[in-house]
Amino acid sequence: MDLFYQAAVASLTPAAIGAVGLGTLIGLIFGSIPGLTFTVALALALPITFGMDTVPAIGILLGTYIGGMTGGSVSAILLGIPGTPSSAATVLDGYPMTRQGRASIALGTAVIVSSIGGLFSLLVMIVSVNLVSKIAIQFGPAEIFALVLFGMSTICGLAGGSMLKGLIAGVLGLMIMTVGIDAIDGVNRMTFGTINMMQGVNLLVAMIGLFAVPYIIETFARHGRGETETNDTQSLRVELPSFGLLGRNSWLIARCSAIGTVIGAIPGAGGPIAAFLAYDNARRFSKKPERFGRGAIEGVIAPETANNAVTGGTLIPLLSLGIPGDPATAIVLAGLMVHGITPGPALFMQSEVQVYGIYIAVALAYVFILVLQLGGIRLFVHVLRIPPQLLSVVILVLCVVGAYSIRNSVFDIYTMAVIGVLAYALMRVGIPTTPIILGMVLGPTLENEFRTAMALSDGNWDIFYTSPVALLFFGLAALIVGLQTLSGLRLRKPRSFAETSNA
Amino acid sequence: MIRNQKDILSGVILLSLAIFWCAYVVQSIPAGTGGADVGPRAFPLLLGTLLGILALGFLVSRLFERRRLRAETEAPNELAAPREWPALAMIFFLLLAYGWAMQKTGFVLATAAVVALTMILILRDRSPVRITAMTFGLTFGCWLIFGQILDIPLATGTWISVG
Amino acid sequence: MFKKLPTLAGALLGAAVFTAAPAQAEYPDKPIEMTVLFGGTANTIAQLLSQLMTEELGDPVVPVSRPGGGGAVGYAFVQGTRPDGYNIVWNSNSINTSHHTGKIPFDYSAFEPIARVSVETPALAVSNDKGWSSLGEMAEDVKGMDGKLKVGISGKGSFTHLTSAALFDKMGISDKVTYIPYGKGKAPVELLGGRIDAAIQWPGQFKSYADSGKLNVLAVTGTERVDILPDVPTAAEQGVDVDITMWRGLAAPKGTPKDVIVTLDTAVKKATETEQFKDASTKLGFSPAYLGSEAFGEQIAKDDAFYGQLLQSLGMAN
Repeated sequence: MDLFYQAAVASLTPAAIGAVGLGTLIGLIFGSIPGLTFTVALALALPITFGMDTVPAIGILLGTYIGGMTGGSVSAILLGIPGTPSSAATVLDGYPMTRQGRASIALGTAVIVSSIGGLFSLLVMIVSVNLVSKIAIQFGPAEIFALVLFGMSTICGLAGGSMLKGLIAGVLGLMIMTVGIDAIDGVNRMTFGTINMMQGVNLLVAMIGLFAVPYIIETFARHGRGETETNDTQSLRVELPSFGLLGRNSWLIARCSAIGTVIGAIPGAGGPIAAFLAYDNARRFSKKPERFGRGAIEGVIAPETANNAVTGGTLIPLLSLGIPGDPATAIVLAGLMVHGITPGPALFMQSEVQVYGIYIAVALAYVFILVLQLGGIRLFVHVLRIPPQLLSVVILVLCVVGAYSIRNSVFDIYTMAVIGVLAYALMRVGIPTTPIILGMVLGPTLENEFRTAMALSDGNWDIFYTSPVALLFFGLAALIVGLQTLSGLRLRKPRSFAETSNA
Repeated sequence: MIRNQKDILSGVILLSLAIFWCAYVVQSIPAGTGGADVGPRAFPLLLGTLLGILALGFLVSRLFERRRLRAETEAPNELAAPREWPALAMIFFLLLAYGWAMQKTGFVLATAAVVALTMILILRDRSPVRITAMTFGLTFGCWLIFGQILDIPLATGTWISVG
Repeated sequence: MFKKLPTLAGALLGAAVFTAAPAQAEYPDKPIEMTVLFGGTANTIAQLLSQLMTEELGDPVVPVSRPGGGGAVGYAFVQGTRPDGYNIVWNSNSINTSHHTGKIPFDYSAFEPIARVSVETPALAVSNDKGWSSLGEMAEDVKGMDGKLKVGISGKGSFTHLTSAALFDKMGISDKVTYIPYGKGKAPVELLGGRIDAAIQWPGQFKSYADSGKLNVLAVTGTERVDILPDVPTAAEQGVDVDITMWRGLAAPKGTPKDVIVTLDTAVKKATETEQFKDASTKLGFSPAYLGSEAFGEQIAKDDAFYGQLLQSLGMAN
């Protein structure tokens, strides 16, 4: 307790609090602009922390990380373009809510459940960092492979109308990610002999292409036909979710917080998987699953709770094992090390005060998020008043800036354009885009963990079925696929009947 | 063209993609040694094959359905009124040109040119005030916020560079 | 971020007063782009170095990240720019390995060396339950054991793979080793989880594990011990003759004027001598190792032959 007091004194100075606030604001801005993400924000924020004291420096970095994670939901809900990969699942129901004129409720709910999820994971981290890191150590390549396969099985649920089309989309997503240098053997794959193709397809670049380019094409085409505004701006007013709404969904929030924290704690998994699993979970156990995808508030609550619960979850292996879960946390790790905090098992013995300081910074960041983002909703919704065709021009420029700035590569702009046009064509023939994202998120992990596992076992397949953890996830995956096929068969008859009779 | 023909066309395209993919994978990526070494070829080849099977399955199911539906009335004609295709092509080439211009003339000039072109060619805006305002406002705004305040390295041109 | 604000305010104020541009500007008279090829420590050192060089040169040195293709994308970008000193690359041994594995169609001679900045020394760690406390004990045990030693690396042809291959070859156990390729940074945990027996990674990753006694770090592969793990002997001290370290430095496209190289070289020298740089080196786990343009060039050439041979012997050369 004495140490905690010391940490509180150090972390609650005006400079330190201000640093967290500044970081959160930067993260929110980068997260909420389609095309820009917190990974870029963190890379830019790192150098300004070099000359600072340890506590404010860490405050800026953690604030940016957490602010960026929450900010992604803003453009996902308002424009249907996710600001970060973790908020791709939020689009599914958040954007329909905006089109029904319920944008402010969706935004407000997203902020509140994000903070709840984040604080929940922080609590879990404080209470059980040792236990959780012990569990995380048990997750070897075979177990992570099984977990990711389980994540893949949710494609079946996201496929929408036709399972076949959903699977095609998923496989396309997996294929896109094999382009570039193979991480394990260092071999060029599908590069057609050009150096630019060797950088592969960046997930963020592809995501901008998949969501933003079709949005722009759609708006321009509608403008060309002389159609106007489809968003219901007449009834646009700032309305926050009631306590009743949150109360009714408290069990869902608790479940999704747990999913996010656990997935975050497993190195190599991460935000997007957690968000999709939570979304799938919410729909599967919902009494009215048919409302999902048509503006169900639960479809916003689930992914937003989970992707922020990931922040606390990710900090567990980061601090206790020194493993960054993704490029963003890798920058946080570098920032900690520059200031003499070396994450790993010794951190909790040598620098307990710093660890408490980190906890306080995380909690503060969520306070700032609540204040900044709830206040910001009043501003954000005005974006919808901009004529859509002019807004699309702005988005076009932002997307190009974003796609370029991820790797400072003009080739990434071309990649974005190609993927965007293909995505639009796929949408026109009824192939859903969400499974593509899921395939892209999971593909590299799926392949690399499988190959590492086979190398570990010397080519013996028993590595997959002798591990109880792996077996559990394989079982869950089989269960989901089975259930989905069953309900698909049951739905099939009446629907095809309806189709023919309508035709 | 009825909906079914569109499905069949996309099935054929996906199937050819799968065949091309597999052929290129086999030709360009070395196989693993087997056993413990899965190798870099296995996964792309598996995916290509999977796509082929799925596309074939899709195609067969549609062909089968087509026979059943042949006598039915035509579905709403979607591809025959391709209002989207000009917008699609224009945006595609605009994005490519944007990237290319950024390399040559830097971010500021490329952005101004692209915004003006979009307003005039795609949106067919004829109000000089709106075109000028969008062009200068957006370019200056991005330059100020991204280039100056947030300090994101924006592209510099090899021919000329402003900003 | 935000560091341009004062200049921006100044520019806005000064906009009213027209000032004639100087006729013959001296290098540098505009921002210099430093292309960074990798994330992680490489990126952090580059960001720090560029800040310190900015203070020396007066004009900003901007670190611009161009990752991908194991460095190939960034090398190709800088190689294709005008040799006027405004595009430089934060390079490393990857210029040699990328060329020999066929990733880039040109080699180190496409660049003018500016200066070497730092050196990172890989370290070998083994799990505690093996009970090995030196390379000798390890070699003896491994020679007598059934099956193979599982060694974690960050991918075939990666620097950790090459170091492992050279080290185990000198220890005489190269035929008893099987390599397990992992993503970055996983090795310490895999060692703790008991899934692999040994791993070569960067000292910064092992630091906390060594301090808490969870892993045994047996050796570093350079000729000198590293500051971050002062108790770990070098391989040479234990009678295994290897000297492999990863250097990082700056290079400019071929044909960059001599005086520009000298200006940059001097700025690097001063930057590496600052307290801030030395302080960061102990915390991040690298050693400041300034080497002037010419000596740096000689080292690159020498290394090129070494890595060419090593990759040849591993069957990975192209």
